[in-house]
Amino acid sequence: MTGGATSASERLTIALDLRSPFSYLALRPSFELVDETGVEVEWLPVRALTLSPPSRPGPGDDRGVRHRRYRAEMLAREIEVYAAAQGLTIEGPYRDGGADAVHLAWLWLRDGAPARFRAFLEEAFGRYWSRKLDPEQLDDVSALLDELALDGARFRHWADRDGPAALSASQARAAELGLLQAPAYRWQGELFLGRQHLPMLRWLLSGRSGEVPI
Amino acid sequence: MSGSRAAPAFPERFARLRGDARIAVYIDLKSPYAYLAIGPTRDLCRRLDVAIDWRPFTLDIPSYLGSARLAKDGKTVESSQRSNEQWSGVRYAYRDARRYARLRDLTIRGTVKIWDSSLAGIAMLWAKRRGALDRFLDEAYPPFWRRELDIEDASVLEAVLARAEIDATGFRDWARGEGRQLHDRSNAEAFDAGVYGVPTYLVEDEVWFGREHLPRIEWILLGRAGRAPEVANRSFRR
Repeated sequence: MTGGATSASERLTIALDLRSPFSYLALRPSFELVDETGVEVEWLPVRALTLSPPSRPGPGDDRGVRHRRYRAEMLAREIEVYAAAQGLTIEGPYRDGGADAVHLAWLWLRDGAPARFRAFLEEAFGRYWSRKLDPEQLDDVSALLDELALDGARFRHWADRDGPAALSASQARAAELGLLQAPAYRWQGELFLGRQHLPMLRWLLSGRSGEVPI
Repeated sequence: MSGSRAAPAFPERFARLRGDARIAVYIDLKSPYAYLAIGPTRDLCRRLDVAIDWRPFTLDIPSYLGSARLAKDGKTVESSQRSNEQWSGVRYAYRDARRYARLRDLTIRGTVKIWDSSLAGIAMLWAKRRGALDRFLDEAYPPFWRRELDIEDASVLEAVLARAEIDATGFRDWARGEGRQLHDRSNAEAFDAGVYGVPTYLVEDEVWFGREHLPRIEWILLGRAGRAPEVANRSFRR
């Protein structure tokens, strides 16, 4: 997944945040892109801004307030409709709190057991958005790793010893690449925000062949 | 929100706003994303033999994205009431629009100010009443995005109408009276219903913002057969 012989500029960086419903919507299509193109990927967990619910209408609402409310309503519809289209459950798209424990396991698996990385990520996203996983609790995440026949105790040891530095380095890397939103993609220095760009990325990764994106 | 649910309910006001049109699309001349959406929207609707009801929607950009003006060199910021986050979003949007424009040989230059495009919206209504809106769009969008049009100048818009072979006699008076009223009323109705950006698509009871939803719009227009598609900036040329 993070190929040793591949230079950073030839790798696609995919930035997701467990707490972002749009990241969850992007997860499967992103893996499909990777499967189809065989591109080397750096999967980066990021702390993006979380979504805010639409505000309640009030008598003093100016145009800007109404604009933001309409936009929030549109995003809520988009999440609902496209989650249904993918058969995903997204219970409550507005979440507070962090996801450090899941993001730590993400880094641990990405670098140490890449073959199991995808299974973990799909399970973690699925459980989190069904409210079956507390992403800040190392015990919960260790238990999930055990369920997936990974070594939760080993992860816990690593998380206690090396986790904070790994997380901090990962966050610095995201900031360095300008990946502060999720889902986001970076290919050859170019930033793409949102999964609607997957056709463009597919086209670029295929040597600009096939259907041209619009 | 659950994957087991069928299509969610969209507020009825969107279907009312759409009216009799099978598909209504709100656009603004000063939006690069509206410019990019015109081609693929036409390709899709041509293929499905569906008429598009294009409607002008004049964006009030400072109300949600702050305001700014560039100096005459087109690069230096002369005045700005934007946060760093807003600037970052605007710069990304232009970079994003340009990379897609390049693939279709379209030119999108950054604008030097936030235009009041309401007069251009009124000209759209004028052209639409004469059954020639598509010609007007083709004559207005490319030069505007090459920074060749002052769309706040009525004489410039009259020239665009003339190039589109649309009689502009009386346009100026109409733009000051009935045309302005029509534009303002239509804009207010759209905004009150929840239209806030362009391109916005109304199809059946659904409303979508952005051309990335064209795959879903195609799926709806084809009777919702098969699995609903994902968002994608993809071509509809066949």
